[in-house]
Amino acid sequence: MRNDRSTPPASTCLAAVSLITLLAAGAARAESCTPGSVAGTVTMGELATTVPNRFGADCVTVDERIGDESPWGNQAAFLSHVGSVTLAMQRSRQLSATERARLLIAARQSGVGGTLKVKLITFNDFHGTIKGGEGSSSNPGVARFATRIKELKAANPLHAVVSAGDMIGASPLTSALFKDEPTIEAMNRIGIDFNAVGNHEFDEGKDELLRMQQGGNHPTDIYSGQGLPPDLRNGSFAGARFRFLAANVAEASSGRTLFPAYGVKDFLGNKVAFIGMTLEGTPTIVSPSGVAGLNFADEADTVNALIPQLRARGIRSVVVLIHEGGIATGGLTGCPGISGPIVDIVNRLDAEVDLVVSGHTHQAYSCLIANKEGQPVRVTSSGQYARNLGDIDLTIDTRSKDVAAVSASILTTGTSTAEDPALTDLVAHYDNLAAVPKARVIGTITATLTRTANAAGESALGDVIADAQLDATDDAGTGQAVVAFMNPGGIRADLPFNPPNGEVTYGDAFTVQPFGNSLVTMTLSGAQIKTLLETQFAGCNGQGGFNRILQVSVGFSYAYTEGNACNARVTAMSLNGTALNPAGSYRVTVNSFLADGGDAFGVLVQGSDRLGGAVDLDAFEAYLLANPGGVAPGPQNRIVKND
Amino acid sequence: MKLNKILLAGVMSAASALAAQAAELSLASGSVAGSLAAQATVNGETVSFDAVLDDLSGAGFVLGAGASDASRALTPAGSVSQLWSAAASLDTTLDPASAAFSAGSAGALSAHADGQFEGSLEAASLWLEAELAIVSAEEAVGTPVRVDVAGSAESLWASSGPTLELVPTFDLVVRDAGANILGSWQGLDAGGSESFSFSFQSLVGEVLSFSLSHDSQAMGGAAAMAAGAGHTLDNAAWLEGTITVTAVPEPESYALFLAGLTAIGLFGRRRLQR
Repeated sequence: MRNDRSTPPASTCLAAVSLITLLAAGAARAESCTPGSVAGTVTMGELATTVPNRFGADCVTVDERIGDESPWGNQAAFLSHVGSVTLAMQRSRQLSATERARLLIAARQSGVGGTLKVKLITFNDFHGTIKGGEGSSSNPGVARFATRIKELKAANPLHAVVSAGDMIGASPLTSALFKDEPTIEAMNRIGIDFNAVGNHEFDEGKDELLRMQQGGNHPTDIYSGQGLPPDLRNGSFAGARFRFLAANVAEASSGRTLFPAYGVKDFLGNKVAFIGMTLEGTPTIVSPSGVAGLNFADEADTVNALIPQLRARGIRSVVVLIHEGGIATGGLTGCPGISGPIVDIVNRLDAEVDLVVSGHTHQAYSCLIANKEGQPVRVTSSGQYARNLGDIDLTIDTRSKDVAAVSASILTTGTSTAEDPALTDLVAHYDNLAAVPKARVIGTITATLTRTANAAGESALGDVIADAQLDATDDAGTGQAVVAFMNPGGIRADLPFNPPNGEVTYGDAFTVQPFGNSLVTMTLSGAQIKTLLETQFAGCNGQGGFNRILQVSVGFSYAYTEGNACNARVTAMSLNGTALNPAGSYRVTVNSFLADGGDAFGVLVQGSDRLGGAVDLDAFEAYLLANPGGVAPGPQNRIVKND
Repeated sequence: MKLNKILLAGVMSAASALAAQAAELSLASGSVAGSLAAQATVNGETVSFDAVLDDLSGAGFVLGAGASDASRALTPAGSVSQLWSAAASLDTTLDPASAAFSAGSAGALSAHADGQFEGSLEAASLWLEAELAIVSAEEAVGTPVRVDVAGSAESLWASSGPTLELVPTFDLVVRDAGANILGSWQGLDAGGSESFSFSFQSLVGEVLSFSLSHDSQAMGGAAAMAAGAGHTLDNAAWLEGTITVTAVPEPESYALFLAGLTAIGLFGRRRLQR
């Protein structure tokens, strides 16, 4: 009952409850036996003794009563337990005095209780993929994911389940249509401990994110609060029964973090702190309205500043859950090389950090990266969309309470794994509710429209989406746009060709564009359009670590030379065959995310004569309706990359 | 029925107000030590054994443990062996509001030789001291708390022949910062078992000085040993318990709690009369 935002209220009772459960399990035995008969000799940890493993009158053996295989919070707890149970056995003549003395000596020599193994089950970038096969046939769905977690929990009574962000946001329809409440409810059923916020947690703004934690229905959306009765609270969305963490996200008005900086879980008196955070650059990749009034701080500085606070509370085992990652080449098993922002962050981390669970890049890796002191720290990431999960053992030195060893492997959920029946009704419920809106046919395509880009960065689906946005805003009353630009990160999936006729369902289209951004038409000069295009390249005009090639609408084309310097790469911009005039004015359509300067395209904030338009998905639907013969993939010749 | 539910809710909220005033025990410092000295005389030859307790303490707990597993050859033949184990601990890590403590020793002395077992003396002593601070995240320094100490102790012994005089004593004392005794317990008879409990008032911010010592004297008498046989004398003593701090509810909370209970009682009786 501490008045401390950082400590989950349930954490302190865990230790006692687990111990009692374990002891109860160890002493219950129904088999028949001959009391006094012997089953080998007693083993204490790894240490063999000469003491006969005798059955007691209740058919519980000496070894079972000692329970050395059970987890012990420290050596004092184990030795005290052995002292107590062996005295009772001496009294009942299950042990002689000499045998008891030998066991007491062995108990101390065995070192049992000196270390404690804790299982961490980790994941990242879940993105609301509760339904198997939705978004991609590789997505196993939450029920299979839950099976894997349940197995690991069952085998390891001391465990924590933690997520490194983007649990919600950019989700497929089965979760997104219901404001991602299905994902929160599924995680509640699985029983997870902490989720660090990622950038996508901010997609719908601070208030909506707080609602995910606190519960209550969405103020206007009719699809909110549709959960099954056991998942609701007072008939409304119940909110997360786990803690969101946001160590580096503070409200500008108060300076307080939006969620607790860290959570603590107690394992038989050994406390582990989980510091949760998103990437500092979150405001550059989230719609500015979503992060208004919030400050995002440097990741490593934030962690390091918390370490003295944790030490003062006697906490020496520290795990960082961070929604920022890297690119590694080793797959699930190794890590021959890792690059990306996580490397710099870990290089600056205090040596007190024992493990970094990362995310954001949707990669699966288990790497060692040097901390500030040059010591290697385990850094993991478990892919995306519930396809993988981290299976991590922390070995805690129970004298110092610090982590002595970390071992990690990345597991595969598998698309043929049995589904956990504790989750299937929840998924089926939302799937049924979504069936009608999802199956509605909104048009046709002649072939799969893929988001996979060609060498220049242009994709067939990107072209079609940009065309749809132009079409929705080119009329006199809708903005008179002449060109549309679409950010590649906003295209979340391919648009599949459904045989035989290529009918496109609302569900398919939703999966491609789940964000619900509206269109904005504005006036830019030719020079500003050039700045916009120059800003696509890594490191130029504030762009991040990799290129973000915007998809462009029909009639607009340009070329670029990647090897040139920043602001000298783009050439030959033309509109309907005419070169762009740097001083000319052009009506340009982008989505609201870009219009607010998202993805570092700050020049778009300067656009004048702004006019709001339709929601992106509605524009896409209208475009399909306007092309009854079916939309075909184009030649992808609007962007030219010079060698 | 409805009124009953409302009353019950009131009582529950009053009860939770009682529980909300949490206090914890924090281990400020601790130390532990102990030793064994044993000797036995067989056919005029005296052999001796000794051992000490090692300090294995860690964050949040005090632990001392010692052991001896030794054998001495006799001239011209025979042997005396000694098994001894002792431990004392105090652990605050399992439950913030309480500390679990234990102390005990177990000794087994065996002699194998033709002739006369002339006697033995085994003396074990251990002591554990801990400074336990009463802390609270939300209660001010000086807020009254109640401290409960409870546990049990037991002694076992056996001898294959020689008389054994055993004095297994435990001494548990809790003092305040001014060394005034707040509560204590002493025991135990050889072969006996006892439970103990005592409680006292203290304050948030106080530092309790907890001390637990154990002293065991086992004197073996003389006895003849037949050829090929021997004698074994063993003794064991064990004490375990907890020291727990709980907030003392404020008078207003008590009043509300009692008022609620009374109201429920009256209402229930009225329903019964109808």
